[in-house]
Amino acid sequence: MSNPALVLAHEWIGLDVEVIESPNECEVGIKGQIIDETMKTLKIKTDKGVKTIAKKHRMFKIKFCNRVLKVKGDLIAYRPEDRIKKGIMMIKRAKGKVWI
Amino acid sequence: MMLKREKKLERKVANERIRILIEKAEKMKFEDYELAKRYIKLAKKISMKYRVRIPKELKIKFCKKCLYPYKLDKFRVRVRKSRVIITCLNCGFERRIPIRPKRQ
Repeated sequence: MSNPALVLAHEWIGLDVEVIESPNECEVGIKGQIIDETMKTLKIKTDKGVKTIAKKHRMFKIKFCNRVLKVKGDLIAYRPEDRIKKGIMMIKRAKGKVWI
Repeated sequence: MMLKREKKLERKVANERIRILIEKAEKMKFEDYELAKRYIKLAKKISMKYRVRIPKELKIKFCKKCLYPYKLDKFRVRVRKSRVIITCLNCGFERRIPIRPKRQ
């Protein structure tokens, strides 16, 4: 949990999220807690009920280890259990180094 | 050159995720029983993929066979023949945990 870049590999269920960019205008501004995750979608619990939102082509604002981060949805469009391997490799490819 | 996988870090993250998921399921089981089962399914998938053991204290919180978390009225605990027997009332699976007497 120490490295904020590990958000790509870490658990998203239970975190607070907000959609800030989307090709569908109605989705912009949806805010709440994530209750489920699949390969292509996130399920967000909002005041108006549970909303299902695709990951691709969206931009999310997420609270992770006491910071607010902007994450591109394309980077996390994998199965939740695959994200550990692929997320860490993505960080490694970008920086060439992983801090523990 | 091919990049190498960081297996130690992967396992560390996997361990943290399993812990988070099962603790989430414990809270969620009173609100939505099916969703709680889904969390445990995810935790189990992660543990199998990265070959991480689920810690002993978390293992006894759900049924090994149907993966529903144990909830009030959905499980039974009996002590018989020097072992603890936990029965899941969703599927009927019995889990037996032996109690060994201390050797002197």
